[in-house]
Amino acid sequence: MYWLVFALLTIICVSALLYPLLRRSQSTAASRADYDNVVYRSQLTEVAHEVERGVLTQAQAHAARTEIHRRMLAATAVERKAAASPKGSRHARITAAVVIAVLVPLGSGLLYAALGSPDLPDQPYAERLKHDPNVMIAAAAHRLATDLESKPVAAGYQRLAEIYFYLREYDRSALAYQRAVDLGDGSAEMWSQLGETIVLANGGAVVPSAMSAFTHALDVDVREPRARYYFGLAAAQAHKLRRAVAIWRDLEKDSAADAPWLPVLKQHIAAYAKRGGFDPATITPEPPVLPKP
Amino acid sequence: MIVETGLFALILALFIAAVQAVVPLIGAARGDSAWMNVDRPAALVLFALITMSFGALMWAHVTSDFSVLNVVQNSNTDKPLLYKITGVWGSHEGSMMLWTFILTFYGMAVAAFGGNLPPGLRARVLSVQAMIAFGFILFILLTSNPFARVYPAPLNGDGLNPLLQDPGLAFHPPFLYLGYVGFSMAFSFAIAALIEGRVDAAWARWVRPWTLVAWCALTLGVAMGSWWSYYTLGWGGYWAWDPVENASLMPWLAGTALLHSAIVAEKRDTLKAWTIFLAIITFSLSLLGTFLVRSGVLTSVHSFAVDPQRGVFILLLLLLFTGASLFLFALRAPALKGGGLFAPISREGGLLFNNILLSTAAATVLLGTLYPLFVDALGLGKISVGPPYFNMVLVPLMVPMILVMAIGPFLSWRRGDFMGALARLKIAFVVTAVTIVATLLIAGASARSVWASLGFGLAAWLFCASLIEWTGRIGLFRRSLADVFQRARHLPRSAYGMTIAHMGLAIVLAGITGSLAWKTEKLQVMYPGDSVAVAGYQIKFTGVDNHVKGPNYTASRATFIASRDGQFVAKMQPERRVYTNPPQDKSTVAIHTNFVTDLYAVFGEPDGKGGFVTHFFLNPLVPWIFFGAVVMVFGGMVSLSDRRHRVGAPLRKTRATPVASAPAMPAPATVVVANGERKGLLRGWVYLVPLLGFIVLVGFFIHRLQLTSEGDTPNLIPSVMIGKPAPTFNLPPLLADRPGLKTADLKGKVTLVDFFASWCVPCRAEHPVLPLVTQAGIRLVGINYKDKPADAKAWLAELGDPYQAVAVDAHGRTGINFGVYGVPESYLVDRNGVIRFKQTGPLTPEIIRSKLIPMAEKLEQ
Repeated sequence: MYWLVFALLTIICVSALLYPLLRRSQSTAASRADYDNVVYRSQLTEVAHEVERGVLTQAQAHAARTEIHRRMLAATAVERKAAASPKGSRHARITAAVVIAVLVPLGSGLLYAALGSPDLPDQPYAERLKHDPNVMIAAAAHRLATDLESKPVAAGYQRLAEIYFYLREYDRSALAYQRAVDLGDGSAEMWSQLGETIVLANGGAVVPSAMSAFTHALDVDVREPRARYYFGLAAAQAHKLRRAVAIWRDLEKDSAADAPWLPVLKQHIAAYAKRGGFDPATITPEPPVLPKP
Repeated sequence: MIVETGLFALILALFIAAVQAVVPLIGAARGDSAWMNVDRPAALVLFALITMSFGALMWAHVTSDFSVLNVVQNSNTDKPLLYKITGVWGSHEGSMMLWTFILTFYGMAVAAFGGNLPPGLRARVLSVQAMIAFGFILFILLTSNPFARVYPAPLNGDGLNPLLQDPGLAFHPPFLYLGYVGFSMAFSFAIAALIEGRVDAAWARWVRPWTLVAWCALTLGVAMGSWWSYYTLGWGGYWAWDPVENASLMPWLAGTALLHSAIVAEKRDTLKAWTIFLAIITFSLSLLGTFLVRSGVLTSVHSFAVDPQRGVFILLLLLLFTGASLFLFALRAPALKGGGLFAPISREGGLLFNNILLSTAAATVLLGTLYPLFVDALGLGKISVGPPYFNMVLVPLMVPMILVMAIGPFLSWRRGDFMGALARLKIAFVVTAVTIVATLLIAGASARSVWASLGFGLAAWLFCASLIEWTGRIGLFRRSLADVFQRARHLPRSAYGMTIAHMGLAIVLAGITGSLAWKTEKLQVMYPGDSVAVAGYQIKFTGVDNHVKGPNYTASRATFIASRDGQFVAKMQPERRVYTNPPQDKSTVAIHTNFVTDLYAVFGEPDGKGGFVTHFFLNPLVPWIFFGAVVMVFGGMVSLSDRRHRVGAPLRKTRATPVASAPAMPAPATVVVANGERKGLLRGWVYLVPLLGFIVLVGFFIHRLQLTSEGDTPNLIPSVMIGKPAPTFNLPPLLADRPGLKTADLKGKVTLVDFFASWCVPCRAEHPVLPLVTQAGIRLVGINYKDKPADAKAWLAELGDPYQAVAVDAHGRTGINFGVYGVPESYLVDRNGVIRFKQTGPLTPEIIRSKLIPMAEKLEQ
């Protein structure tokens, strides 16, 4: 389909170029001097008009006409010299036509093969809104956000934050969590969700604003596992590996045997201990130390 | 499908342009009409293909196809439809597409309406035109493909810079480009004539309408750009001598010169080399403007898409087009024989005089714009050239120009009667004198009103002289009314065009004078209910609505009631908007105009205590500037409609007619002496000078581009200062009893260096939060940036002085070294004097708490 359209387009365009070259009867155009003289004759008429209006005196008009006539003579003189120039042969024209007919499609095809993406169809937004579930969800989230602007509810913002989180729009998700917290849902869970989203929005770095969210979480519930995990990660990112492992071992100790995060946590402890070159078992579990308010 | 077809059409257009560049040129050289005749279908096909391609890009924008990278980066579903369409040229890629679209549009116009052009000339013109198109299409495809795709497509786009979401900006680029690119026609005609080796009066006639179209469009484009800057940027001015503004002014000055020198070439068959030179220079200045804006060699408030890599390519194009054409010029121009001679005092003399002034003006603007680059490249430091330079050099150039502009039309060709012309201008003298005296009487005797009176006098002089010239032509007051009417009807449209355009310039001049002389402004913090007096107006702040919702922004809207002598004048509602995509702020200005004076209100930041910074301007006569520009454009269009531009093509097979039909030749005795008599090396060498100058210029550009790509950023301001030691400085104190500040003072303790100025609106918003910095144990020092000491002292006395030391950077030199873009800006410097953090714009409690304090604590350890 693509190639058909492109080929058709190319054929139309190239044939338009070839037509003058391949046409049998070549019209003989008027000579350059004829074109020049059209202008000069119009200049003569203007001089006549100006004399009529009294803008030019007879003497001035006479000088002007002399000049214009001189130009006419000059134009005709050049023409005589130029008239000797050779006329092109039909052979050369056909050669040129063949070169154009081959090179233009070939070059276009090759360049398109290098630059184009023929496999990608158009994706107008209206279409995607009907078929692409993520776009539908994003549009719904957008509507929800608009509704919440006028009627802010913490639960609504939490829902919005979760949707954005699912869509991997962490910046927006973090903003929505922040709104939920601001609107009074200051549960430990919510604070640590906020912190985690900020971390993801920052490409995995536990930045100060995330730390402050985790601190809030632990202020509410000192056992909140997600915040404790990230406190450990923050320590690890600050190259305090022993401290990180201590925090994680503390979390491990408090976790139920079937806690979903336990396998990941154990992996982390092993990996970071190995990196630090120490035996994790020798590290005493320690809870995170909260900065003084 | 549509998107990919757009890309394919663009690629096909590249090859069609190559054919159009080569085949007709060979045909013209060999005199083979079949080869030459490829030009017209090629130009039409090229235009059709680019239209398809541009249309496909527009389609992608309108349907929000986020599988196209360009749409993702510049659009968003909640953007209003108008800005989805105009946003196409809001991005670099799209604006280059618009450029090419307009270029091929002109090519199509020559193919379709150029029936009066000799085939050889037309073939060469279209060939040169196609070379330019080829260069730009290649540029688009290789460095800025607008059809680059993304897979998988993101859920939504990043949106368009709010500054570009504005009707003024939406519509001025097309006009600006119609102007810039329109001068490519004059350029192509000039190159074609140089290749052909024939420049004559007929050529000048053929090139004129194209120059006129380009001039009208550029005039309108520049005026609209200035208007946009006036009502969106919220600084109360309309022209800042910003590099991008200069980039549009230079081709305008050169193009205006070209427009006038082409008249001489057409009438008298002389000044031909000069006209060709101007045609080359005008288009080169357009290209240069594109280069400056796109490459990031200079930054500006108007440039929104910058990339040094692309700069290299545009520089290459510039080198190719300008270099090659100046080379050709140096080769061919010495052979161009001059036509008629003329006395210094004559129409030609006047036009030439003003031509020289206009070109000198263009050259001085160029010098001022590029001077910082030269100084930097020669290792003499970093400087910026500001409005004082431009005002100082342009005023002495413009004053004689306008004096002569009024007299010129009264002089006849060849040899004019100067005293006679002055005698006819008696009334103009009287009106000018009355204007000057009246201005002085009304405005009072001060230095400012003396300048203003001279400016108005000049405007009155030009306006009056243009009117007198017109009445003289139609014989008003000298002939019967019926006769006058008859004459007015038969006066060529080009004569009307000149009169109207010159009067338009007089209006612009009066507008500029008034706004420069009597602009008043007032900046203050206001609380709802407060009133303030501004130049005779009483402005009452009635309140703020914080919940205004736009299609893609929310806004705080202030309401001001302006009154004068107790009479209601206007309700003004400026806004501060916060856009959602991208999350950026923009303030909209409220302007109340009575077509003579603008009352201009800006609504600024809250001060945190219920008050708001407000800024009012009274801009007298600013509307006249834009009105005058429109009048000038109208004049140009009237001139364009002149019958003479529609001189048709010769009938085929009329070879026998030309000279035979003319009356017998009078003896060629007195008039014609070629003025190309001085032979020898010297004369030839003169034509090489432009080429040599250009080569030196390119050398500077290459040097600069290298620095730019190494991270030394434009505007000669190094902004990547983070992680580097604070620049060396030693500044005097603001208050005599306190210490100044030097680099060494920053060491030993974590310090926040805050640049502020009393004239800066956001500084007022920042000021109340500064004590938070000192409370956190961070040393706070202030640098008073480009300010008057008295104002700064008053500011500190009024608002309090939170700084441990305040130094004065009167010329902003230290600011440039720090990389200050605009005050307020603050830099956190660690104990070793290394900059660790930079805040652009005002500090907020949030930033201080979440960023500054944690960072300072870490650095203090």
